[in-house]
Amino acid sequence: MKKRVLKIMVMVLAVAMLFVFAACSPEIIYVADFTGEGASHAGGNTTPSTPSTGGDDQPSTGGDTNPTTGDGGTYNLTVWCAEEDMEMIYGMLESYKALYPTNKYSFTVQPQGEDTVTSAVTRDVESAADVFSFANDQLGLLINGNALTQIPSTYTAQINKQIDVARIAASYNNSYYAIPYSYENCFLYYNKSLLTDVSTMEKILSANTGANFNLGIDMNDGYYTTMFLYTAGVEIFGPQGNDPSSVDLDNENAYKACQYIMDLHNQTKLVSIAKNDQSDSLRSGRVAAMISGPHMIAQFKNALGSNFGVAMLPSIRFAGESKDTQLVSFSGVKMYGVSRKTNRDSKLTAEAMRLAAYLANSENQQIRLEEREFCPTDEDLFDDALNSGIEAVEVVVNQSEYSKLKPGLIQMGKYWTPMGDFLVGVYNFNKPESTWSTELKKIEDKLKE
Amino acid sequence: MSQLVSTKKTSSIKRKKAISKTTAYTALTVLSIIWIIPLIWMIIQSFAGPEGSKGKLFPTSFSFHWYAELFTNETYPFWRWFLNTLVIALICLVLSTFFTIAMAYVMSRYRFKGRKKLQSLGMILGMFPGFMSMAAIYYIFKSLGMAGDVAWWKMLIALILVYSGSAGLNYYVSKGFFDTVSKSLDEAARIDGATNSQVFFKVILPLSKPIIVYTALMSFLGPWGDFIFSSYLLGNETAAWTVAVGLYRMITKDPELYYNTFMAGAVIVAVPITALFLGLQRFFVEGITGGAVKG
Amino acid sequence: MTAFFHSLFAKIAGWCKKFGQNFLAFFRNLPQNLKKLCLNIGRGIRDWFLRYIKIFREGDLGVRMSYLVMGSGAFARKQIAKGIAYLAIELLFIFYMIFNGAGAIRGFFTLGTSFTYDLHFVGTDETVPVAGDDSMLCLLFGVVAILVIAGFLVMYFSNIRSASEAYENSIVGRKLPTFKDDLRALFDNKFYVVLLFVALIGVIAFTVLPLIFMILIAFTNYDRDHTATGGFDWVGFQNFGSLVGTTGLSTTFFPVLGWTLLWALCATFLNYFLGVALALLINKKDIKGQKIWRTFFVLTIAIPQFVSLLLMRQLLGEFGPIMELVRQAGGNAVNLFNNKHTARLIVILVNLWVGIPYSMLITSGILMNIPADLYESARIDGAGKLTMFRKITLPYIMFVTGPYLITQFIGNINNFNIIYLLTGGGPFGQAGLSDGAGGTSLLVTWLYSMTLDSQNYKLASTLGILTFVVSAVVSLLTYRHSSASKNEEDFQ
Repeated sequence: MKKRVLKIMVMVLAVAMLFVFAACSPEIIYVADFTGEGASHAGGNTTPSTPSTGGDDQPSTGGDTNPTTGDGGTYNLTVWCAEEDMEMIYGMLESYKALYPTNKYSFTVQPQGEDTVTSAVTRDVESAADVFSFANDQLGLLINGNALTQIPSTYTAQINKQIDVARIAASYNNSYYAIPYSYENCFLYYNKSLLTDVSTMEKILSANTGANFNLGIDMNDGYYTTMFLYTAGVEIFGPQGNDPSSVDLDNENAYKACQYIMDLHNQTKLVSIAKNDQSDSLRSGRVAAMISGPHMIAQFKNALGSNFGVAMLPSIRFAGESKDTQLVSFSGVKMYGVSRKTNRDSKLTAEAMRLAAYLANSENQQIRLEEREFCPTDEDLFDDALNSGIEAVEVVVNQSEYSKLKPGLIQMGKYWTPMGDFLVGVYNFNKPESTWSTELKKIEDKLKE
Repeated sequence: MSQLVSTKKTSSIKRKKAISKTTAYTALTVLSIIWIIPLIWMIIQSFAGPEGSKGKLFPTSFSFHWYAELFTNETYPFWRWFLNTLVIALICLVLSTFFTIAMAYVMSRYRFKGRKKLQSLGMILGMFPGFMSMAAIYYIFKSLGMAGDVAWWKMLIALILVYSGSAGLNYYVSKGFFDTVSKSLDEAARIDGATNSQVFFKVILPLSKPIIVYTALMSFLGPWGDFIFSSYLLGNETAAWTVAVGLYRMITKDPELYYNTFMAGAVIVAVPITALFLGLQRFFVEGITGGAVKG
Repeated sequence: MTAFFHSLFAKIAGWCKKFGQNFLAFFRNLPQNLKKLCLNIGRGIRDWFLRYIKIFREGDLGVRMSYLVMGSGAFARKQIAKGIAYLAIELLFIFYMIFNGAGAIRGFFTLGTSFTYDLHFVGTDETVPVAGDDSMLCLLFGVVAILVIAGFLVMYFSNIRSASEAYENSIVGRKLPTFKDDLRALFDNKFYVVLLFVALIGVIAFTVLPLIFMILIAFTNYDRDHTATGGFDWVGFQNFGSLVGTTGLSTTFFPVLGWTLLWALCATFLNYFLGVALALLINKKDIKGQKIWRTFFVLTIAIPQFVSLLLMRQLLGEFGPIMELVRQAGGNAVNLFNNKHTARLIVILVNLWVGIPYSMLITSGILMNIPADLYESARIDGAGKLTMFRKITLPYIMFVTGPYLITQFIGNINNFNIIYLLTGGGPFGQAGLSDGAGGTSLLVTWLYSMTLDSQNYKLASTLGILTFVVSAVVSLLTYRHSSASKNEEDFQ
């Protein structure tokens, strides 16, 4: 009798569960006809579309019957952007609404750091934002994660108006996957009241500033330490940074850079300082100058006030060389992408694309330049930026001659952590000279996999 | 002579006692200071003036600026997070407590086939790192339409299910308590004609106040501190965040902007929980030791 | 106090010795035990087959029919409701298998065959993504299908057993329980089934199912290069090989494992002994305001850990207030988190700050719980204070908290918060460590950064399983000696 009751309970449970499972069953579709299309791995199998030429710009499927005032449709779109840009984005979205008064828009803007957008998007593309901003080094990973919609030819004209670097950054396997809007570089921030000549590393480190440290860099971050590799002449993925077959890290140039990084440890006026501590230590005068990324401008300006100064990266002198070499920075491009959702109406995708293009257009690049000191990628605006009177942007443009674009290849996912860890190990004397060759070889092999 | 020796002895004992007492008090004072200072520091930072106090030992001025900021910031709607967390915690309190107590009672009172196996299964499950299955849980909820691109309240239900779903496994402490409740009570009630369910609800539960309060307290506290599961399940839907996700995001993503706001938020979370905890401390001690005593 | 530590160390030495003996015995007996296990399993399967063959042979038509049509046995005995329930289960199962289950099982093995692709519109370069399979969903539904089949089999055999039981009862002429009787029993004799059912359904859905799911991930190549929508595949034991094998990550895995164990040892025992010491100090007879003293320490328990730990990180940082004080005093500020050894020391010390209050509170509770008559009778026997402490207080604390220590140890192996929030696993770039593991990385924090930072799900799952193995071995070796397993029945 006891057992019977147990059984009945289990039965009821099982029946209930069956219904639940039946309700959420997988829809495994076996599509025989589309084998030719195949699964698109890293965009490798999709045939690069030839951009349509000439005036036939309207996509036939966009359903946009009236491009000037809208088609009366209702569009719900989500946008992800850096938290500090949200205010500005709200403004741009308002102007966008005004452009198409007959359409009904409902926008959701959510904060998402541009550096970690890949993990947020690839976690589940279906629940990602429709339009999101990201840094170009994540392009390969996003495409590989089936997370980006290819940009249709309607917008190639807009992308072709951007500077070369931006176009390279936005393309993958000869197709565009994002619309660039800002060019960035890292540079030297300094406290004008403490430092005057910031042209060379030696001058910075030997100056009598009265601060605890004359210069701070986040040596834990491969983004900054790789600069020394570049300066020493190492190339990652070829001269353009987009050739996955060209990987050569274990060479004399790399050792030269490692030696330099190791020597930096003995510089008592240099400190490795994490991003989160940088503004405070500038504010308190503990550190006189900082090599850091463009996203820190607002914070540092706030911290230093009238003493805020920016300059190109200093030049450095490798051991045993007789003259200085200009420090080469990593440059990056920020772009808007449209997520590749399979559950979204194609009309909405077209609208998302149009919104992405709008957010990246030259008027909005100008707004960013004025409000947030973002260097534009539009060719004309970029040329003008050199005389814009905005110090930070002028420095970005100047530094651009001595910079390498962050590669957007998927292999970069295997670069940051291993190389960053190795170089900070070199800096902290945890990786002695005898291990350099094997360690670099290891990273090289991983990148070649 | 002997009297003299004895007075000497007592005075030396007295002195010894006095010394040991002073040492004890000094040690306690020093330790208390070490334990309290970080918390006091947190409170002081939260009252900093509008210029902020990050990287400073003490704020240069004091105000309620950051509390106001906390409740008016539109990007990060703290009051919403607080409500979300409160609701989740209250529902978890009911569900988890019931699951835990039910499981513990069964394990303590019944001997059935597979009981030992069930116990060791529980132990085994407890040994896997909890958040290892984070991604799997996300997919399960996604296929149930409760995660991903869905309404925020569905996500919250998912979170409640995650928190309370596994509560049955945390039965050890409560089982220890039930083991100490004499079985003769059950038997007396059975003789009076009560069914087992009546025994449970009418005899055992009323006797188990300490352990119920302890379990409820623990279930209530859980959602306030978890930022791992919640941030994975809730994604970027700020309206659905809990205080843990939000505060964690504030301090890790943009500490420059949100340093003092974080401190204010932390104080607002900590004060009620601390009050609750101190008020119910007795049950905490009774619950956990009751369980530990009888294994 | 000396007596306390003397007997304490004696205890620890005893534990260590026992642990060592257990450890050796475990491996010495392993082949023998495995053989026994295999034999038992084989025997079990044989008996099981024999049993169902016997039931079939001895049963009547109803019993025999129930092998094919579930519930026949019940119908034959006029247990209509039960028969319908069984029959419904069979029909639903068949229905499910035809429309869903078969595909899901196939998906479980293939993990998807065609994935998201772009549909190109003729004449334009507009593309529309078309949803394909999702390897994660294939795996999930495959697991669900297997669970459903397993559940069905349980029901199927229970149907046969119930048919045979009812048949036997009808032969001897015993009255069969009605459906109503069965239902009523659920709230009386079988009340535990209801309670268990309620408590376990959540555990199955949100703990067991995801866990099976993630364990399976360890046997696939799911990572950043092989995504769910792009398709991943089964790879067998490859991931385990790359973690503990001679090549690959083993140079990182074993140092991290070593530090994890060292950490768990330090964290558990230091917290425990210092907590006991603090409790003894507070509970000294002549200390006034014990409750207030206790409250000071308890505050750290009440504040969510992520808050207090991030606070500690700020406090101890190179540009935090403590170093600022050092600078103002003219000293040299250092970054404590930059050096492996100081970073390790810090996490252990901060863990004391977090953990001592717990063990203090528990010990206080025990001290108050010690039956007064124990002391009374000891006093009558003329025992001094010291003797009473050694003979009563100490053994009592030890006895009660023994099992607590084991759970603490396991908990510390999996102690994610302290490390992740304080150091994030750093300092990185340590000799010999690679792939995102740093000087203070535990297996779990490494697992977490693999999941979130590098989306290396396959290795994260493998690491999770290995972490489990470590915890399981440790508790297997110590559990035999804990009083909890032995004395369960003593107190009732």
